[in-house]
Amino acid sequence: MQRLRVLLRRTFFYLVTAWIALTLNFFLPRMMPGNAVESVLSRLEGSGPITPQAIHAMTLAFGLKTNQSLFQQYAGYISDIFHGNLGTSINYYPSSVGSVIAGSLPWTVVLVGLSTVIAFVIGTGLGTLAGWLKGSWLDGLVPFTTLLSGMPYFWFGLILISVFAVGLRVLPFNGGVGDGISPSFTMSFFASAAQHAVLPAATIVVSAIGGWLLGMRNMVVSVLASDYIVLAEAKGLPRRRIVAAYVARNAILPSVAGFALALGFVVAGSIVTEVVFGYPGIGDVLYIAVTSRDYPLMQGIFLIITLVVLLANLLADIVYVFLDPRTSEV
Amino acid sequence: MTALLEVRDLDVSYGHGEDTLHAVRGASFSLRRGEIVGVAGESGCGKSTLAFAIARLLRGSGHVEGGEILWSGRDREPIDLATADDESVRRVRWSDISIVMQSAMNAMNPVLSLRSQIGDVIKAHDPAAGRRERGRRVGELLEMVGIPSARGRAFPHELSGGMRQRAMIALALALSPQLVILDEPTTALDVVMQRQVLSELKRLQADLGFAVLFITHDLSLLVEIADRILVMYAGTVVERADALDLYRAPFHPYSRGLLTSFPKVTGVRAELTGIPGTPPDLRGLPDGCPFHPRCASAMDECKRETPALVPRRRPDGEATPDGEATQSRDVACLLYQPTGRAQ
Ligand SMILES: Nc1ncnc2c1ncn2[C@@H]1O[C@H](COP(=O)(O)OP(=O)(O)OP(=O)(O)O)[C@@H](O)[C@H]1O
Ligand SMILES: [Mg+2]
Repeated sequence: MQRLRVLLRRTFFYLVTAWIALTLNFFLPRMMPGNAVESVLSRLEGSGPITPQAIHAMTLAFGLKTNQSLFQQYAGYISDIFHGNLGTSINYYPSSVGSVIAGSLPWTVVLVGLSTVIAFVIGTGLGTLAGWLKGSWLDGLVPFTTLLSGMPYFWFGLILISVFAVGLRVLPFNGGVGDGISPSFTMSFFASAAQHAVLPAATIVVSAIGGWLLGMRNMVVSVLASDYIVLAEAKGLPRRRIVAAYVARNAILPSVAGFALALGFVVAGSIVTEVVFGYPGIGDVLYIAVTSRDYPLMQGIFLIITLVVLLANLLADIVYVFLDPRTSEV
Repeated sequence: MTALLEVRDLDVSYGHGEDTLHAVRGASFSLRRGEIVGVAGESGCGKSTLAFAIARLLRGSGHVEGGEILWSGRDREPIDLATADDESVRRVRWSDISIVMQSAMNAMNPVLSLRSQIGDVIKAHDPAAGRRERGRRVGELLEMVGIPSARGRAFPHELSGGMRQRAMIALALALSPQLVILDEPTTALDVVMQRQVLSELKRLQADLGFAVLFITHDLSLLVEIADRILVMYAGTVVERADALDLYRAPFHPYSRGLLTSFPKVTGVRAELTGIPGTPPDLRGLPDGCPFHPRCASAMDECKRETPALVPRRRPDGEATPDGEATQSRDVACLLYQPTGRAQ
């Protein structure tokens, strides 16, 4: 009951935050000096001719229906969002922003999301072992993994590409799936997609694992020094029970918050990997949107990023409330 | 009948090489079934180290350097806990020897309910007991220490300090152990709570008949509850006597000082004389008797000779403290040993 109340309160808090984010998204273009569309256009002019469709798309994107009151515009904007209507992309005209995002988001969620989860699971698992076996050879490897995660992301990606894709030619170096294969529920699609995901996933996992490992290892070491672990040992509990329910269960609490933030960062943080590997995810699309000044698309992606971050935080709160009974106190 | 626990010449140290800290030196005592033995001494004199060494729970660099810890549990071959393999020790833990730690708050896993912290120890040692059976036993245990069984669902942070300490006692009794080690079980509680928990403990001990190793710095409290008492100073046992004898006539000057350091709980309130000076640094003990720099009765020999713990002998010409010793009493003090003949 206590927990439910806490969760309802948190959910309400995030809904309010989401609403504020949406509202800011609505008012910011209107607070630009002059007509938002014109000011954007004047900057776009340098880079080439502007099609009338582009002007139309942007007018729609910014919701600048001058014949309506501000309140009507706002209501229309909110209702559009709830219908998934985020306007029309300039770069991918006449595709809607919604369809561009829908086409790229799953790639990112699967690749980066899954890699983040894998990195977390392996990192905390190894961290638990390293902390438990403090001073062993495994613990001695910790600085090495920290070094790996300190290496620049793209640089490590480029090394992988040059070794496995260019040198050994065992894996593709570009794209999300082989040429001529379109997304479908077929073996050939999944096989090709998995093959293409190996290198970018490895980059993410390797660079993220060190952080989880080090954090978990240090928490385990400090938890091991506490009285309740001595008592658990005094109780003659099987080692499995001590590690799982007494050590890891307490040591993982700080990592959970970090993990939620990392999940929230999946969309925003995918840019470098996806650009390096030419992966058709949302990071790649955002990069294209920025370089081609596709404002409606950018706006749509930022909205998604905001919502994903909020959602991840809510998820963290839910998990946390169930992992740590003390949260229901506050 | 053999003793339940027989500790012989136990040496316990922390660290190795130059930094070695000898926390317990040459401790010997025995504990019979159903007996309450108290260990008293100032902070840092090695009481907890002695207790944790017996349960093989020394932390960090702590290790047994020498001596024997002979355990003769019911239905069990006697084993030496100092040298036995981990699996044999694990079997003895909790089902034979349980422990209540000083701080109940820190001794409980903050993320598990009371029920599961008591239930898991039952499960570990009695896998045959089903979920139902475990739940029933947990409920009984809680009721036994005065906690409504419905509170088993609570998490440690939801309990008051006194309740937590009672829960720890319920946990300690979960498998009907033959020895319960109590490491300052009431120090974190206020005086009223202390009384309650202590009388609760005494009642349970009388009912269930487990032996107790009771550790505290409060000697006058021990006098009330214990059958026999060990007084420790700087890692060594300096006096070993029946509680009543010690109360009537503490022999070692340190025991005398300890006894007057706390207000008496029974009878007339004694003066709080205490002991001058501070507990010694275990890394740099003085030559001779470790207590001599703080001892009002120190003689010249005390600076040179280290007294051994021997059955008390009446020194010629010295007025003996009154009170009849009904049982053996051992003292490590030159006042009670003919000079030059200390072993
Ligand atoms: N893990 C450890 N590592 C190193 N030294 C330790 C450790 N634990 C205790 N010691 C040292 O061993 C000595 C005895 O400590 P111990 O905890 O047994 O004392 P105590 O009599 O229980 O004191 P208190 O009444 O304060 O609990 C102290 O000098 C202490 O500093
Ligand atoms: Mg202690």
